[in-house]
Amino acid sequence: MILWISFAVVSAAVIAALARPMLVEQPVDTSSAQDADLAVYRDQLAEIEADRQRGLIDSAEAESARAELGRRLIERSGRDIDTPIPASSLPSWLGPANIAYATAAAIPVLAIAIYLAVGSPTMPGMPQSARLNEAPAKAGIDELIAKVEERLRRSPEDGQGWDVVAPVYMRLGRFDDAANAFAQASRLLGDSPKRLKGFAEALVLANNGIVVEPARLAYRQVLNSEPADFEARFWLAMADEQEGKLESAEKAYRAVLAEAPEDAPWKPVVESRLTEIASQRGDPTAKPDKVDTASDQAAAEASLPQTATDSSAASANSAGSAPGPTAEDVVAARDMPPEAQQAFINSMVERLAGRLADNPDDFEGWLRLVRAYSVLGRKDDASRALTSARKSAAGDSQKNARIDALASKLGLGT
Amino acid sequence: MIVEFGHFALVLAVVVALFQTVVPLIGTLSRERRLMETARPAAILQLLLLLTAFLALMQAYVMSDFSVANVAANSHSTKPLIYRISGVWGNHEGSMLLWVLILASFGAAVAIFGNNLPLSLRANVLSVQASIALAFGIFMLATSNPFLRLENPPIDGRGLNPILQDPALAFHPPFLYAGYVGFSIAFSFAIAALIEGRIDAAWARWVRPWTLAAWMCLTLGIAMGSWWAYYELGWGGWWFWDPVENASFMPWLAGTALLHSALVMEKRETLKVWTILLAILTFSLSLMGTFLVRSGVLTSVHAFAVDPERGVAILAIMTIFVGGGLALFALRAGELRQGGLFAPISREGALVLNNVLLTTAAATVFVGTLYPLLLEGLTGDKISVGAPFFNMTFIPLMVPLLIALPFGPFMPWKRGDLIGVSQRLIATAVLALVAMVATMAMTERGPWLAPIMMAVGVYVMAGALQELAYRAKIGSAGREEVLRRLWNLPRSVYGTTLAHFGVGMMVVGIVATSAYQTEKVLVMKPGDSVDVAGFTLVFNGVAPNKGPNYSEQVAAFDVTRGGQPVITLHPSKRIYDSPPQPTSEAGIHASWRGDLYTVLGDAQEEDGGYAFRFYFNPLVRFIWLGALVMFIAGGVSLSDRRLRVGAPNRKSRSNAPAGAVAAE
Repeated sequence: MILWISFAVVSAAVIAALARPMLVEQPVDTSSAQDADLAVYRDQLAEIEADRQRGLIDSAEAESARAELGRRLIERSGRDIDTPIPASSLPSWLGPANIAYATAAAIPVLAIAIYLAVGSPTMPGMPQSARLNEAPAKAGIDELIAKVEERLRRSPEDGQGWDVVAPVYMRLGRFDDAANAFAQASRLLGDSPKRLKGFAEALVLANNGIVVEPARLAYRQVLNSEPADFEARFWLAMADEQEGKLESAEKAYRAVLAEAPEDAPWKPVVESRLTEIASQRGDPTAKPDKVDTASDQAAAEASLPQTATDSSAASANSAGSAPGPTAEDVVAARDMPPEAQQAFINSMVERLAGRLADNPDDFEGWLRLVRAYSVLGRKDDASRALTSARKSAAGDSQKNARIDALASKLGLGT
Repeated sequence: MIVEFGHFALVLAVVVALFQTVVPLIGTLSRERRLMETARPAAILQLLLLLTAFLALMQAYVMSDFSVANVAANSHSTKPLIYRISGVWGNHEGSMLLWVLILASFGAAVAIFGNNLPLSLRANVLSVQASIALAFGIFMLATSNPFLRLENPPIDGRGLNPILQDPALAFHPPFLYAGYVGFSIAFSFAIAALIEGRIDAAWARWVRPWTLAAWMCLTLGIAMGSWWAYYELGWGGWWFWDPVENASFMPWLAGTALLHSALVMEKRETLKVWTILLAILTFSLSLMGTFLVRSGVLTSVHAFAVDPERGVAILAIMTIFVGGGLALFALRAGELRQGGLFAPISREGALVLNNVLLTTAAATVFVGTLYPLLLEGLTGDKISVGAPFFNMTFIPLMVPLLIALPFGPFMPWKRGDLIGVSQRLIATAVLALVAMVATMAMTERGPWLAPIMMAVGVYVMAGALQELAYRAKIGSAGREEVLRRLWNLPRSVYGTTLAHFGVGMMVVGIVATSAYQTEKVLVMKPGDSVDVAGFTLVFNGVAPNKGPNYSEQVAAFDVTRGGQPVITLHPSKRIYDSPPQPTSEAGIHASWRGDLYTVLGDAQEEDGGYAFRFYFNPLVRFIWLGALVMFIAGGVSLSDRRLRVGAPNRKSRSNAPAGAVAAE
């Protein structure tokens, strides 16, 4: 409604401004083209004198210019001196007043008609910030995703849509969907390091940490355009390690570590990989068995969840979350005999559980505990921790979504 | 809401343009004063409405309102604010809106400042101006509406072409359009004169400031584009005779000719018909420039619209205005009265020579630009007309122009004395010879023509200064007299001097860079060093970096000269996030001697080295400084009161004192 009122106001103002000169009596024009020309010649005469004084022209030049102008002046004042300015020759039905009324009627009609043909009067403005702010209030994240998914189903060629939804899938733990979304975005909008890395990371996570071949190829491609990218280099080293190419893996890890910024949060993870390799190479017979790897993973989960995998979530963790065991703890665990190691890891997990008992609102802490328990195979404990996590989430739909995702990923009943 | 209001304002502006085209023209044809008077409010309203529309669209860009199709297609929420703003005209629809906005600004300026124009002339000029706005307004609403909305707005936009995300390029289009569109005023004045069947004495004086303003903007716009190409495209070149560049260069050449012929017309009331024709041609070339870059006939950064339908529409608009203008000219030119006579050797003669050479040069560029397109259209053969063609045709036309240039301002009107003027220019010629010898002494290689052309450049610069010295009687009068004369010289004289000096600077820069550029291409590993034109560059490796919406590889070079540290250069390669597109950023060290220019190439697979290109471009800054000086010269000249026209004193016409008529 306001929109239409504003249209009306603007149209009225336009009509008023245009019609006014046609409705009021204009002063009789006493000046003619002849007057205008004569005024110019007089100006020029004055200018010639000024130019002569300034030294722009010499006096002979000034004289001839004056003579020429004088001739023009005389000639012009003689021409059409007696021709009166012709009066208006408009037929009466086309008088200015009638044109004014016609204008007043035609302008709004024409403008509205054209506008209705091309405009979208019912559509409000949708600044991105407003849309992003109001969206979660109006709808839960699931509904938002549903909306996006529905749109993508209708127009699967919308690269932007895939680009937007891919990281969201990632955060929700829907890694297969995330990998697909990144791949679609790459296909439609072209490869970018961001998309390639997202795709590869999603694949790795979907395969429980195994750097599968497509992920490996994607990381290779990232290195082609960004040779220094740490993430890609780390995972390629991991791929080597998983294939048993310990030497090249170690070399790559060390290179990454050497160039890492001082405060890189993933440094301890790389260090732990190095320690792992060292222990494997130092004593092939002491190659950690399945349980140990699982424990390592549990320890890593308890200490530095997601740092290497999902940096955005990691940054969300940092505030007010119970600290896990330090990196030194993890590293120390590697040097122990298997039994002691197991005990150490259990103690670490218990320490986390104890801290959470004191501070049950630590949502991220609970998630970490769920992962740790589940890696250690303590399903019941994991389920209990999951319930506690739900309590700490306190109905936050986004947090609940993460819990659901984690539960389904770990195969825990809810 | 704001967007829709802007949309309505655009529609209303087009309707007002229709009114402004028709009603004032009825007024002048029927001598009905009340109808003629409507042109003024209409022109001002048009400006206000289009400004509203433009600001509404800008608001949508700044707020990232992706429900506007144009914003969704051309913007992205992560773009820095300045590129969200410049994104408004970084696409076809938005730039058309800017185009008509500038058109309306010039129209409104005539309405506001045109108090001293005869009423019927003003009404006719504004009517013609509005007809151009009407044509482009309909074109916009029908094929290129920037306000169309999307039912399902995407979460984020598709992003601006990264190559356009650059400060010089952000403001290159507005200046270029101000230049193109500014010539529309000269066109409108020419058509108005033809409609009236006579040319007022003040016609040239009214046209000149507008032409000058447009010419200034076009000069700066072209220079910005060239500067951008120089540091962004990474070839170390500054002009490529690309058809798109030529499209802006042709109106510039014609506009420069128009500026000079209008001078003759104002002072001597001669060359009237030619000036009118030139005004029509200049704007026609502007329209053609718009057509070439918008129709998809040319593929380039500028070809936003590759939609043939739009191309046909612009072609139709162009045909109507160019054809209509020329037809009217053919019908009416015979009725126009010719003015005073002059000898071939005179100021007029010099300006005619200027016009002949400049228009021939424009024609040369025209042929070189359009012939390949025509040939491809007719036979399907693709040929490339590049620098060699233009070097062989354009430069031979420029050399006599440059040699004649210092003579012009020395020549008296009507009849001149070539020998006398030559004698006055002896000092300039000596200076030029010194420059030639110095060039030969300082350089070991290079084409034989280069020292001569350097001398020509210096000769133009020195000639401009010598004219000033001559006017002020430096050397022949006392100090006080000289200062008095310098103080009293009209600003338009300083404008002439500066503009001609700028031309000379440009010639020097062009010749030095083209003839004496140093180029090195090599693969380097961290720690390697290279010597370029007296600089020693040590390569310190490549590091990644992250910008607001791109990531980049940045190389570092420590530059020393004679053991003294000079600067650290950082050539880089960027990849933008959305859309993912690589661009290269040259590392440039600018000095008076020239530019040290470094470009990062690809990483070498086998040995971890990187390919680099190094250039030393001597005096290259003179090219753009010259353009800047020309721009300033236009401003100085424009500030001269003498460019304004005295109006007949309407209240006391019977006793108007001669020459005492107030300007405005």
